Amino acid sequence: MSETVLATPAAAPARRRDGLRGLLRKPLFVVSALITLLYLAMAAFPGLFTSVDPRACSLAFSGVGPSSGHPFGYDLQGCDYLANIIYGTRSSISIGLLVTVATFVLAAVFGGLAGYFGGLVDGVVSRTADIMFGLPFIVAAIVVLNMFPQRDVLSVSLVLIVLGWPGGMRYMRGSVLKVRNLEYVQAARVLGSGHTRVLLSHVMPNSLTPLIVLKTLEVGAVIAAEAALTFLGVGLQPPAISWGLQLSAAHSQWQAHPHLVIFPSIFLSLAVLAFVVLGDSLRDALDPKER
Amino acid sequence: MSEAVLEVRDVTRHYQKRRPGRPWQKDVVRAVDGIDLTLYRGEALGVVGESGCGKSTLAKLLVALEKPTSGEIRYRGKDINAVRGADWNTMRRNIQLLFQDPYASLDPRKTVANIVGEPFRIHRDLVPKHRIRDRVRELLDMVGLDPDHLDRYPHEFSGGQRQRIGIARGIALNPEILVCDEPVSALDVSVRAQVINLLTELRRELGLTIVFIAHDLDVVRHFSDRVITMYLGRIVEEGPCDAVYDRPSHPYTRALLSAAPRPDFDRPAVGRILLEGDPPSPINPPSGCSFHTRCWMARPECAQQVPPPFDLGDGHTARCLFADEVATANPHR
Amino acid sequence: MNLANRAKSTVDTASPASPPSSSALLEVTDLRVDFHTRAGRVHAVDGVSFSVAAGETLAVLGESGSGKSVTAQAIMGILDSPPAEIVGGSVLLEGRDLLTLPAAQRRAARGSEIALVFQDSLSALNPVQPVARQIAELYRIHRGMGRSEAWRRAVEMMDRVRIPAAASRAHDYPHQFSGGMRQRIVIAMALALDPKVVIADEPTTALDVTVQAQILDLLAEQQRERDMGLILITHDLGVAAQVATNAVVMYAGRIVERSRVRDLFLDPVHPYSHGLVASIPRDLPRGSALPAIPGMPPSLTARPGGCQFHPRCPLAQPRCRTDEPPLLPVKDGRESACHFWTKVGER
Repeated sequence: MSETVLATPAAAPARRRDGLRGLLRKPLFVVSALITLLYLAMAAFPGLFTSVDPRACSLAFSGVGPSSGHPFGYDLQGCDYLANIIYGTRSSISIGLLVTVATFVLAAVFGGLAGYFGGLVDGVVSRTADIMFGLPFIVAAIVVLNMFPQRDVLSVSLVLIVLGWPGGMRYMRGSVLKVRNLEYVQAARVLGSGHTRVLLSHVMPNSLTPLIVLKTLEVGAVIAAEAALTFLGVGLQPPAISWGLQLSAAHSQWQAHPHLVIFPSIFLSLAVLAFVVLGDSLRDALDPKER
Repeated sequence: MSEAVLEVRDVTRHYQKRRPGRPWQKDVVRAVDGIDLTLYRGEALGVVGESGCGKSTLAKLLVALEKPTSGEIRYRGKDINAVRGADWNTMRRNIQLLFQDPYASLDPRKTVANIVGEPFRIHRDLVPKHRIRDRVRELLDMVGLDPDHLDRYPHEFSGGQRQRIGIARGIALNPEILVCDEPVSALDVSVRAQVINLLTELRRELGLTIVFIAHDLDVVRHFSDRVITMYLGRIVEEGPCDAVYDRPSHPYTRALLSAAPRPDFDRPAVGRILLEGDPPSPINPPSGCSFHTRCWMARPECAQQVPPPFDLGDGHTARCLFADEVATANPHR
Repeated sequence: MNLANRAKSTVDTASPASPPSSSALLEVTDLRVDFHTRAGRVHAVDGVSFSVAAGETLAVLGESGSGKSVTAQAIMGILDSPPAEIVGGSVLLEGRDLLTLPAAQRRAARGSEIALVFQDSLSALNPVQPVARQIAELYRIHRGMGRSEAWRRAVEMMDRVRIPAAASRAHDYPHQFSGGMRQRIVIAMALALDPKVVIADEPTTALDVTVQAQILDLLAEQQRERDMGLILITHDLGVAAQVATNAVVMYAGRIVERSRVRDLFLDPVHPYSHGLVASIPRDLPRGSALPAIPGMPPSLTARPGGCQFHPRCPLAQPRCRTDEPPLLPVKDGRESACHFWTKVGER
């Protein structure tokens, strides 16, 4: 019955655009989008949020708690903690976006090719992905990252990309397999379309939505993964500034200087949460069936 | 008889299918299992049969969406799966398919102008780019849609209107052959007749040769000149519509005609044939005449040999050893 | 369709507001179901009344969006609400109103007194349970039978719907049966508790012609044996003709004609039913234009005023745009919702 309602001409004025506009009326989406924008601004222009140089430190203030003018206090090196946390946003957000965008492209291309052509292409791509999937993520990341002499945003991202693309690829492959046999794709072939045209003009546009949603949800997970690796000592290294490094340095000082653990944790959790909620509301808007 | 445009010569289409629960074992699904068929210029050929009889696979084979496992299909003498270059283009433009499901057969992200205009973007020599929209308007008008709706999306149309969009796309390249795979089954009963009428009209105006696959036997009879009955991947009966409907000479055709629910209040209950069971699986079709397991006339020899075509005159043939007895045989053993 | 059956059936000529006639098993009166959609409230079923007597087969004819399936779901109490809401009417089963019955009693009545045969046998059965167990479950829940007794009855039931070698197939799962056999199992489940009324919602639409004929025969035969009321919901005129004695034709949420099936085909009294019957290609010259109904069924959200059928109707007059014709007795115990029913079928 609801199908009939949807299929009627008057009741379905551009369902997709409707969904996107409806997003602005959802408080969860608006709040998470604002928080995300705030993080992006902090990553791009940290100077706007603090006038203190994060690397201007004085051991005299080592571990001093919050005080007026320095609301987050000082870290163990005696640097202003608020400035450090704000500058730390950049590493987390860059890694989150870089890894997500790169795995999105890899997943779309390889998933699209494997799903559409099947056979040998699918065999090679899928078996490679299976091998990557078989590796225990954290262990593999630790092993690989330990081989890098100097680890920065790029090298950490690279490892996360290499280990992280198979999930999205499988997802994409699955939705391409579904779309590939739909009648409108067959119709294009009967009209004489070549593979390129069929793939680019019919198959890809109709199978990307689930991947977009998945990847939005994953930004938060990537940020958390970077923090986890860094915390374990195989991620970013000083002199980089990142929440993971801050947590790693502070965790043994938890009882003496609780503020050193609390503030970066709040920033990290809020960032992860904001991206996950954003992805969730995007899924509701783009794909009402999965609600 | 006019000239042959499409010739199907001993075509089979077998699929490999993993056995459920035993993925290392494969079954062969004999979707189309040895078909010979000639399509003549300007005719409408009806195809009837139940699901699994291979009629949809046949449709895909005829438009070269699938390749036969063996045998060949020739369009104007040339194998449609071997032609290249200009011959391929000619074949592609002249054999088109109309799909059953007007919801699945239109790309939801494209406007009508894009959908109906796509053929001209693939075959660029037909209509200059700036003329495509005008040509789409003409096509929409031909199929009874408002030409001003060309910037709308498929979901803004009803099922019947969507099927008209599909027809507009199907005739855009001015094909010689239009294969219609259950073109009205997915539509509301009150709009089916409209779409049938449209196809009748276009057939006359454009001189189309039509293969009309449907399960509504009355509609097939109304629309087609000749009809074939398929069972388990084979043609069991073939002939002019009136001959086949009035004197069905394969037991399966007769059962099919008898089973079709019709508002026929005065039909005697005596002649009614009720088959038992479902059609067997095309994975392991019965030996000999594949219908013998459900046939009320079956005799021992039916399981031994595949019956050759029994000629009943006027191009009416039935693959039954006892075709001459079928029309009059008493179905009640 | 035997004569005894036909004699027993009654066509209720009373107006919708009158008290239930004594012979009716199931009496649906002025049923109204609304849907809450983004575009607002729409009337999916808009004042539908009909009744079924023991031994009667009533066909509810209509196309998608006519409200025929929603009517069935409302009677069974399986509407999705929200978005659906029953906003009026009553459904009396032997005098008890199912719509106002407490939930527990309603659940008990569902299955044991009134049952539904679903269209899609694959989704109506649980794929991970053997079929006999699903039937046996009914006996255990509703009849409190023990495990072995319930199983024995389930196999017996499978035998009754003529599943070959029922005892040996009882342990099989739904996917191991063919479509026709699966539909027999769905029917066995519906009949298991000996309901007084069975509603079959497009029971053969998913099946092939030769299998459809078997299933229709089975339904008709079981209905005769058990003297139950059968409501056959279908879009297929041929199916209705083959099984039913009486019919109501629905269009855009309303009943537009109520007739004996035979009369409906030979002499329809509403232009919509006339259009449907006329578009069946019989005895027409090959390739001639079929008498088609123009236009398309109205959407739920954009209903025309007055008579819902007037934009497609060959008989439409200015009055039809404003006055909604009520369903009124016209002749021979039949009813039509058309101002100009006397002109139906005239050329």
